[in-house]
Amino acid sequence: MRTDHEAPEAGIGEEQEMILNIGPQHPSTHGVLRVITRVAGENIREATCDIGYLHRGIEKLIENRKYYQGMTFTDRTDYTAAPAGNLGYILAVEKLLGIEDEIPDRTHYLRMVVLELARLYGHLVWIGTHALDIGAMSMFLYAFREREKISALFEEGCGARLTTSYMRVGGTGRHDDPPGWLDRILEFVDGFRIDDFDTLLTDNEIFRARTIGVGMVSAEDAISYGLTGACLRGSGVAWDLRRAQPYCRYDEVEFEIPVGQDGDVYSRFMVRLNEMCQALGILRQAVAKAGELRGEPTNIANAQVTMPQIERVTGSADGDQAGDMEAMIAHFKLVIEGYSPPAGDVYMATEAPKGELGYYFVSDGSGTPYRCHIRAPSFVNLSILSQMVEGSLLADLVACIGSIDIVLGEVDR
Amino acid sequence: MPLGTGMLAGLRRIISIGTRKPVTFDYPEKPRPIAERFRGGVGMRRDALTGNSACVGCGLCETACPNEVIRIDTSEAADGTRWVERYEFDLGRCIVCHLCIEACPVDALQVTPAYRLATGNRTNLIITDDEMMTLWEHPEQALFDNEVSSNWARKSASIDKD
Repeated sequence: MRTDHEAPEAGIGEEQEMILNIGPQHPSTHGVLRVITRVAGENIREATCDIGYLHRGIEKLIENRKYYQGMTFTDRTDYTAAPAGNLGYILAVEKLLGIEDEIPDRTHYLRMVVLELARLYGHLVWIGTHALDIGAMSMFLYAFREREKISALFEEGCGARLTTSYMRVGGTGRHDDPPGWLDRILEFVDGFRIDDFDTLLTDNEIFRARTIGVGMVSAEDAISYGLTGACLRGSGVAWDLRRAQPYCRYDEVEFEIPVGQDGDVYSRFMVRLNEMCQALGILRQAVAKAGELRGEPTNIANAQVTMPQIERVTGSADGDQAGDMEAMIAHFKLVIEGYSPPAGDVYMATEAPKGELGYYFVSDGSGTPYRCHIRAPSFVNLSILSQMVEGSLLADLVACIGSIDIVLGEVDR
Repeated sequence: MPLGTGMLAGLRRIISIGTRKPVTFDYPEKPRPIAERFRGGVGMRRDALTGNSACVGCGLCETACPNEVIRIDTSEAADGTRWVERYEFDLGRCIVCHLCIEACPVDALQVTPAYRLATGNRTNLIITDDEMMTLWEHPEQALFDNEVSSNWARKSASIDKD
């Protein structure tokens, strides 16, 4: 297609077409997405996404680091829901090491708690910005009000508000749940005002007019484009990896998979809104289970993967007891060499807030991955944008980008 | 449903939200509480016996860091012990993952809640073990007494006066 700025010559009675760049510095493109559109008046004839403005080479960075170091980069792929990236990475490495069956139950439920908080965290950014794009300004404020509470919970439990780096291979590292944290999560869940979002948007005439019948995606198209997450479920396909390929004890909690019917922007909105309700339900169950298992270890006892207790390495603080030499050697070996999974490859897919987040690793038996590929849901879901907006109005493009729920850190990686 | 009902319901909801308690903090005039586990700047423990840093120069933090933040130069003292010549920490590259703290075998690197690490000069961001010990001892103070933090203090003071 044409990307130059020459206006095509138009004859008498013909519509004049022009090339319009939307982004990369446009607030409604949710980051640095550039959409090159060929428009005739307000009608979009063709739209092409130009990505890569936020490319940092995260896959390559992970390939040049030891396995335990790579986890820190996964915070920065989908930065609206960092624990989801952590979990995908950690589960893939655990599968590569073959220790996924040894993970204690308590760790699974703590991970589930953090993951479902992340799902809310991600969806709150989506609902705030999506509604803001369509013109509902106050929604942004209410979404970020709730999000701030989750930030505080992350700060308390994981140590950081945005880049949580909570999980470690084989458990949760030095961090389990601090005292009272699970109770405060329950308090948050009980006080979560999902009805604010529901009342303000679901029946709002302007919102409905802007979203119903816009950006239609049929179920066949959604499957053939490889869409996942709410984009697929909005088109009526009940596919959720938490149910289809359960991980982290998701087969032991009860939840429903919300499914839309029409495949338009409004269906995807309803699916995500219902997903937030389901996340609250899962949080209640997971917090209860994690509370029951309090006191159990969170890290596996495998000395090949888990760092020894730091007190065993340093000795007691008052100097009465010297450090344990065996523990010291294990500590040094784990930091310097990391762990070396057997040669082979592994793909682990998880249901992140945006869709199927998969990590593919090829190991050559050394301490660093030979190849790491991130199957980023935002990247795959974005591919349908061109088809979705073809023939629609320019204003609908903004609604469509919002309803795909992309985050450019994940698209470009 | 008659036209406008949904919008009216929304308007009612917005008014009712307006009557709720505010959730915001008056930052920076009133600092917000920081969680105990919050990962702030990396501090260095001062050894109680020697008064110097507790670092033994093993270089594990240098190895564990994913972003090449830490640089350690060591030499051998006359009695054959390892001596830390220089310990440099680049705050500008640090992503505060605290993998270095997990790696430290003598507990010399410490978690601090310090977050006032801004400076107007980029070269200031490369700090040494002395400044890291200051961070550990006084995490509540701004690390750099510079234009950025003093402007901030002036501004806060003028707001207080008003």
